[in-house]
Amino acid sequence: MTRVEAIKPKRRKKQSQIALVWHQYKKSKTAMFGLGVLSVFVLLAVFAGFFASPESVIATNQKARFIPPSWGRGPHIFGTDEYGRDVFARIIYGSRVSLSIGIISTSCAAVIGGLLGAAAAYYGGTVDSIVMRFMDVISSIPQILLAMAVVAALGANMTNLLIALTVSSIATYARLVRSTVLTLVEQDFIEAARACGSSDLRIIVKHIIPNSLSPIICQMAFSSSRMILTAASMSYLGLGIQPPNPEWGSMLASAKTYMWTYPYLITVPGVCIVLAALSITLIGDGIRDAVDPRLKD
Amino acid sequence: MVAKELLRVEDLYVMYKTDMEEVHAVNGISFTIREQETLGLVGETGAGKTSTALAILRLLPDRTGRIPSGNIWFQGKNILEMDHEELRRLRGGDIAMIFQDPMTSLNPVIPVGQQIAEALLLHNEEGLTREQIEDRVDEILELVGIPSSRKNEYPHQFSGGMKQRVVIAIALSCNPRLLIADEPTTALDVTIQAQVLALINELKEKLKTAVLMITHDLGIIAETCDKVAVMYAGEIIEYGTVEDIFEADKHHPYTIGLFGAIPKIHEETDRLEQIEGLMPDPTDLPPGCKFHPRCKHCMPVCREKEPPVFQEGDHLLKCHLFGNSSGCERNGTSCLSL
Amino acid sequence: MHRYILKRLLLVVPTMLSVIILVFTIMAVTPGDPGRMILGSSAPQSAVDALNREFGLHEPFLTRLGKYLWNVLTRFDFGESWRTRQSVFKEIKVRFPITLRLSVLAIMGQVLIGIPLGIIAAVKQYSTTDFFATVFAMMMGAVPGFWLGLMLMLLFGVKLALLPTAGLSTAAHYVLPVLTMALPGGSGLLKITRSTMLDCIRQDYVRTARAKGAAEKAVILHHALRNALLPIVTVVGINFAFSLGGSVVIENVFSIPGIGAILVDSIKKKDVPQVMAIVIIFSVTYCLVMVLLDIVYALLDPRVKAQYAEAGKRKAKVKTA
Repeated sequence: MTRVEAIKPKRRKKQSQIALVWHQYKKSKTAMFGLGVLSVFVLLAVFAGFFASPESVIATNQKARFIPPSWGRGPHIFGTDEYGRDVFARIIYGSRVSLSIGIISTSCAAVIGGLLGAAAAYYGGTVDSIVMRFMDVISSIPQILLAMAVVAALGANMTNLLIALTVSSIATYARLVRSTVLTLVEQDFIEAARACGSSDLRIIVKHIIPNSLSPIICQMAFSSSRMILTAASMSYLGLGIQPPNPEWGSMLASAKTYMWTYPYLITVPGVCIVLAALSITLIGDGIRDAVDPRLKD
Repeated sequence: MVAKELLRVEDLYVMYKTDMEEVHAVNGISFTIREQETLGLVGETGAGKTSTALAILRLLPDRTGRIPSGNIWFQGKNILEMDHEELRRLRGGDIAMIFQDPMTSLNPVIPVGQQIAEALLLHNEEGLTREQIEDRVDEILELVGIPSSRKNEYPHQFSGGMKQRVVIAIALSCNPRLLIADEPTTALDVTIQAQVLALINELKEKLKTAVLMITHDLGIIAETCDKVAVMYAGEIIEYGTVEDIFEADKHHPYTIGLFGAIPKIHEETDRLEQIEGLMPDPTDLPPGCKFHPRCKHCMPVCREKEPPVFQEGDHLLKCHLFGNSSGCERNGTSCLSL
Repeated sequence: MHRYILKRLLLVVPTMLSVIILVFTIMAVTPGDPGRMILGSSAPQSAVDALNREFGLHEPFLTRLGKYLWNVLTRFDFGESWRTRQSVFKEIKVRFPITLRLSVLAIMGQVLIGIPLGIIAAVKQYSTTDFFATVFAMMMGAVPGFWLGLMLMLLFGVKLALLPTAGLSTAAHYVLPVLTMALPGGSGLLKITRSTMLDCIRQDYVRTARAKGAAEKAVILHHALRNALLPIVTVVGINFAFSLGGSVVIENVFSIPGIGAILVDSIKKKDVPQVMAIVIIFSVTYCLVMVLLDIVYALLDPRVKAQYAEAGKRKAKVKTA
């Protein structure tokens, strides 16, 4: 191989890496399925207003209670609930809540945990031991209980649920980023950057974060599906989104009373939770395999 | 009197098939090992030596490895037609194998003594009791030069050379008729290599075992072997006694190349002669003689026709340079089994 | 080795103290007014103030924390429930064993489901069994436990009318809740068992075992599985923590009188001492399980044991290979 050939691919590396990952990703049918399902949810969530008004999913209509799912006049494709509200509309608005909980709490946890972990690894010594001891303490409380404790202190609503979920998964990211960064810090290009007089912040932002991104992205996919499940569980217990706001978990909680007579009321929101969580997991698997084909089994 | 034939490999093919490609690892090789004889199988990495060894024990990877044709006769029975139980008795009992890397070929969570005892228990035809087996384990450990007091230790407590001794102990525990040694010294330090080799040589004599010695090191061949087969791209391209290979006038250009790559102590040379180029891609082998892209003596015929076998006594050569010899007009390769 | 275990056990104490401080701090930032919550909106302000004073809420945060820690350390006293005015342990003592029993049964269920299926899936990679096992694992990984519980109730309790769906009075009552907790966790165990077994099956020592003449079953169970156990055991430990937390939700679904019901109730009523005591007891259990896990590691892998022995002798010296 000549010299020119050896250098060429490197110059285009940044662009082609994403293209390369996408190329690998496309090969997996399950990953594409996940992406498809998630896209449907995202589209429904974004254009929710097109199907129903925010007021109509809360307003009660005693005349239209428990209409079974039908395509006919109405139409209530998923039926109506005990207050006569259209389940389909509530599902769509619920997807807004679930998806944003998944995305926001995961991002917050990743950013906060990531920064803590990066700082711990980068500065080492006292900073490292303080941060990591703190993370040890946080992670010795079972996750859902920590989230519950936060909700217990702050009260049950969407913001507090987000805070609770974020706090309870910071430690995972701190650990992950710390170990990734520790292997990076050893490497020569960081030394080189420091020798050129780059500031600490610049080195973290410009060099360390971009290079530790891929394991974090995979972890984020897995934890956002976890978050959706935990949020649904909390709402089901009445510790998350409060009725009458539409959320899949709390819809299931109120439907439980009527499940024997109207099983569709518990089937539909549950299937939605499963599909949302599953699709995100599949996307995470797909990204992981695409980034590092060796991990595939 | 010529010793009895122990193993005969006839026109053996091995390939690995994955979703994307077919790797032709072994392409119609034949050879014979007689009792107490040591055959050296020499060639570069990727020549198909290990595949041949694994095929003999039917240890090729389940999903990918295939033996599309050929026969492997061991004491008159075809290994390729054995059922599970016969195979189980063959492996470790009649044919034992030493692997290349002692670091990974011992189970890290089982004490070494137990790993040896397992082999004994699996082939316990004499009905030895537990105590007798333990005694036998001690005996074997001492035989390979490990104090029997260490039998309850785990592999991570042993050095590389000592681990290979344990591997040898496992292999020889059941007095196999044939020992397959797959690059037994490659992963070891040079000083340890000599010890391990000496040990194999000594035990071979003591236990009257035949050996298939797989190596890329001609020094090892000179030291241990009676017969030598040189492999290239899944074929045996030269076969003969050690004397034939080291002293005869006629050689395959590849064998000459192999010798050229060894530093000679009495001659002053600036640099070692090397064989230009790389082994052909086993998924896409060249037509004709497989060595022709790298051969200094390449003729037009080499590119098109597979070379015939030239024979001189026991010395066989597969190269167009020497043409076809009389009395060997059958399909070229199977003549090698003589 | 013994010294290492002792050290690990002693380390639980400072961790628990930190957990107490952390949870106390979280609960202290509460913006609500516990007195008002308990007495209701119609109660006079003076009564609310008096109640808050009784709970010690008028004192500064550090004083309260100090008192709490003092009581915990000297008298093992975690205070009184604000709702029932009785020791927080009164309810925990009755209910925690139920939750624990449920979690232990769930873990056993997970092991029975996950490990054998994982081994079969790995040994028969790409077979139909493997395909179904993998799909099952993927689906179960995305199912929220409480919904699975509801669906199982619907199927077995109503449609087939085979099993009871509420309470824990007979052995049959345990089937659905345990199954609900075992299936999702078991799927995680299945995944990890499959992938580590796939890895171990390809190792050289497995080939050595085959070359020795060992039968396939012995090769898989004796040689490969023993080496695959370490990551599997780790997941069992993590799943146990999940089961403890998850049981809170599942108990609610099946109306089981475990700790979950009072936890949810206490959170809603802002019964801070009760919530704290429950969170702490779960954390202690979790930490002890982690210590147990470390001991199991040493029993499974002689290399880990050697490392522990080393760490017990000279803790500062970095081990060189």
